[in-house]
Amino acid sequence: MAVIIKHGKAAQFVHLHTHSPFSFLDGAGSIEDMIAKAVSEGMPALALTDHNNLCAAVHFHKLAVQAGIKPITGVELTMEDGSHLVLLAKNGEGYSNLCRILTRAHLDNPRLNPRTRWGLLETYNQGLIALSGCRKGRIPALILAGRYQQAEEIALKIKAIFGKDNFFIELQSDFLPGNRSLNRSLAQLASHLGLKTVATNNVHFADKEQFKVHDLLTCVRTLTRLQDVHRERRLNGENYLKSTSEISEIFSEYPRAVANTVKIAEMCEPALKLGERLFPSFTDLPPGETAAGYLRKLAFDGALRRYHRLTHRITQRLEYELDIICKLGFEDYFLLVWDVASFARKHKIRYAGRGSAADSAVAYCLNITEVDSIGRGLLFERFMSLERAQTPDIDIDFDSRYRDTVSDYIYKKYGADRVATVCTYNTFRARSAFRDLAKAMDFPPDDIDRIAKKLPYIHADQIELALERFPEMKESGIDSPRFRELLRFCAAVSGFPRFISTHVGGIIISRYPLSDITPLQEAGKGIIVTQYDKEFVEDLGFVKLDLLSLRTMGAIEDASITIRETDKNFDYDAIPLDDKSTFKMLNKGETIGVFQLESPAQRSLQSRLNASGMEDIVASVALIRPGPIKGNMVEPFISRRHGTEPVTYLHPKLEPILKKTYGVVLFQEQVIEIATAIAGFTPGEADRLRRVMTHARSHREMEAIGADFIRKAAANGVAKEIAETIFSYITGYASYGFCEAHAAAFATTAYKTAYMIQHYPAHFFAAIMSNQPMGFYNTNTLCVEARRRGVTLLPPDINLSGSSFTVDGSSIRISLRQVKGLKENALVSILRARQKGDFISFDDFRRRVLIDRDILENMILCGVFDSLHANRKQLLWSLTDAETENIITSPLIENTVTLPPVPDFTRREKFNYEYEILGIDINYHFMTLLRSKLQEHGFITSAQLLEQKEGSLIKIAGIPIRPHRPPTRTGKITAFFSLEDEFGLIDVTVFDKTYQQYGALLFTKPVPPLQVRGVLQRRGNGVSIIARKIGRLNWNP
Amino acid sequence: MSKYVEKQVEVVSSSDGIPCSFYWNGKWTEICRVLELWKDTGTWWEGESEKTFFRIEAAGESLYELYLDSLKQAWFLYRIYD
Repeated sequence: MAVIIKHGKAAQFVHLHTHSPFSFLDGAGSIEDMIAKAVSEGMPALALTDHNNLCAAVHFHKLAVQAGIKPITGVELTMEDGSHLVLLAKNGEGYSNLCRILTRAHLDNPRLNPRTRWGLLETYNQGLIALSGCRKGRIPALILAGRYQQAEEIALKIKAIFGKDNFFIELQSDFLPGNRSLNRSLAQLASHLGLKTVATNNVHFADKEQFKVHDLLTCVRTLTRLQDVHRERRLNGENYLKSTSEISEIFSEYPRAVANTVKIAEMCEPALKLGERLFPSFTDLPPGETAAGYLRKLAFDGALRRYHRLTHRITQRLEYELDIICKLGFEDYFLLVWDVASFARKHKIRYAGRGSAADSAVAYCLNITEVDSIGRGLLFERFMSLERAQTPDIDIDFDSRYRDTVSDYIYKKYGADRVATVCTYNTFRARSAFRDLAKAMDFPPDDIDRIAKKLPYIHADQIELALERFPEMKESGIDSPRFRELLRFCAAVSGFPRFISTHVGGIIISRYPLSDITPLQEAGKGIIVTQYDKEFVEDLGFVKLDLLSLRTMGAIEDASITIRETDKNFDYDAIPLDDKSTFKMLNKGETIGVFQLESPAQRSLQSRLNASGMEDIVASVALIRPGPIKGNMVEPFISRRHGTEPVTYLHPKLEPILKKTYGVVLFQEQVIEIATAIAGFTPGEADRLRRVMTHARSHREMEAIGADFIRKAAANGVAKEIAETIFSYITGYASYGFCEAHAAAFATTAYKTAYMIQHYPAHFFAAIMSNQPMGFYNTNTLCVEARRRGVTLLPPDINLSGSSFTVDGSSIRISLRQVKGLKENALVSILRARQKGDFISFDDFRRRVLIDRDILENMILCGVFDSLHANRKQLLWSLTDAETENIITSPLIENTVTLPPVPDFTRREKFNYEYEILGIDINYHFMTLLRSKLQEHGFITSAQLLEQKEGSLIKIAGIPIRPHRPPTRTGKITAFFSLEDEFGLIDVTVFDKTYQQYGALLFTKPVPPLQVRGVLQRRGNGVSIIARKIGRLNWNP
Repeated sequence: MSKYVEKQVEVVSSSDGIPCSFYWNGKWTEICRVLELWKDTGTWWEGESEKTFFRIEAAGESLYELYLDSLKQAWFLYRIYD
């Protein structure tokens, strides 16, 4: 076998027992750092052996290959007796066996407690090398316990499983007490049994300094604090990636053990095969039909249905797409997705394709998407092209209530062993890192909670920045060297994985049994997930299918059903896309409840943009995103759209790319095209950029790409400053930008929901209230908006309310489900009892329905029984002691007959109870109670705002809704929130100076009712307030 | 049985840092061999530095534990075994 030569010298040592952060709280050195160190040490290979998982294997493989060293895929197993054993894959067969072993270890044992049976190793022993493990290895543990004979027996057992040449006794350099004598005994055992030794360092971090971080992570893992003693805590920081010279010195007595590391590395070949075709063939083909032929037939049949006649343009486009799909070998994948969509249609499950698939006319004709890509001029190459040859990614939103029905269909059709949900890694962000590490460092729990709640959603290495910038953070009250040390530790764990969870919708379907290709394990709710996330499964060659849950789909379906009860001709799919009254409504910024267009920024945009067609809505959807906002492109876009500002380009090469969007970077595809045009990125580099943008994998990775971009742009003759400015736009896009096709798909739904609100407000608002939580606003704000639109809100009623909000003429009846604490089973028993006839009295209800007292109290207090008995307090009195203890009530209840005359609750008391129990102000808004006093003090309402002059100083008051701080290009903070009063919302902008003074009021929970003094600003058809002073509204109604 | 000492002592060590002899109770004691060697970072969060411990055998098969404090660069006699 060839000797590995690195930098002209024979290699001397390879680390074969290494843990990354994917050992989940038992690894503190990034994979990047460890590979870099191995490379700098001239090591020709590196093994990764995380605990019971291969999560990092793909990432590690790619980085190692890129760095020019050999990746060795391995794992440290926890055996059925709790001992550890290291396995390394020699080849693809060994890798598959690792996957099979890990799958069984996870799925045959309780969740989070994987155990491998020794017997399983006998079944899956091929292509693997075993190392005897750390002190938790069975052999070292027995030797430490003085049971040498048993240690030999186990060694013989493992030798018999893997063969003499594939089993090595590990000697470690961990500088723990007894280490020298343990190594002596292990070497003696190896010699006695004719086995070889191997030197390892059980690496858990790259550098010794990272020991502290590892120790803290161990505390997090073991739920202990630093001052606590725990056997999992390491005594010293010796488990770092030691240099060859350090290892040679430490193992000077065992030179063969060191040399054997290189021999083992030579025995292993990179075991992972990336980019294989792993999705299955479509099996339901008509006899004699090929997949390509059938796809073609379906596409053209669908085109006839969609377009009614096939023009040359349509035919040419479909032929072009089909040619690329088939050349890239994705005809089966399209048929598979078509089959899933067909299942949903057949079962009347509402869905809509999203994402870049909307660039495809074939997808449109197969009823996968609802965007006419030909009509809209969308380019198929943005979805699939021969040059990029990237895997297509089709995402479909389903009515959230039936999403699992669709996935069940897939599991049944392709077999549970070939279908799995993709995992996602929950990583340390600012809040989680702060909470976990502060607890381990024994900071007072109250301080931890108080500060953690104030932390915005940022990376864990950005907390110091947040402390400087956000006023509520400045008031955190902790500023000590220890606190600063904590923040440094938070930064060190930023982005480290904490645990595996389930991806929101990603499913893979495999041609082969999945456990041959990826380890599977159980995530929460019993869902079987891959150990690879969506990026890594794509690298392996799977094509992910995203089955997403979208409550908007449920709301659309619910509203469509109730609308058809009064308007039989209503057809959601046939909603005209040029309805003038809908655009008029949009142009007024009256978009609360409209999918994707309801945030304050969107409402403001709509009132200024004067949208006149779908193209404007597509732009709107893409425009109010952190990218364009940070790039300060919203205002230029509007001005350029209206022709009041010339369209300019930072560089002539940008013109053909950005012409359609008036020189503004709106869509992800444009970013890719810019990277190619300005910096000459290859398709591979552009794809890397796309992945970082799409997956928000790492902001550090984005910085590295930025450096490449600027360097390559300079080589391309682009001035450095211009290249930097252009890349700053790209950075803003990371994970936030929409692709045009996706924006078009969302815009279609946005417009149609706007249409429903304009023409059927009661139906649509009832539907979105029934499908909460969804959208930007809570139910009460939706009620305010519904009222503003002339819809009356009716109280919950025991005989009239349903399980969902219902429509009664132009009124909405509050549902019984809205009552706090009323669970599904209670709801079902009420509705079942009511099917036999209305309840005629409160006593009648109690005779017919058995319900917990606390729920009954809630129902009384929010007025559910008002139509049967108006005095709520009297009804409370009627509840017996038996009900207090939730004991079955007597069938002969007649308690209300003999009730004493008790005065009912006051109007205000009823108001408070109703809001507390329903989350809704039924009859009037809280601000109504303060209105006369507010008027006396010169406060105006949201309804009066339109009458005010531009620039006038005004006073407003209300309940603050959704304060937020979107990123800005300058780094200065601008906060936005809405004040809700009885007539609607008032949007308030808080610029940096005012924010620094009053920001803590907005971002410290609970946020109280506020008064704002500020300047009225008119923009387009909308009005907003620039805040100058913000204060609590400390008035009692 | 062992006796806890924790007193600073003078040590003569080899070029690779292995102790050869130490001064205790008014006399130099020759170290015959190092039986064990381990490192302990102690309570690092309280500023404690790493210590390298040596369990050594001196003349007459007597056992001692010495440690080198990495921060103070000072040797301590940690424990004496009876």
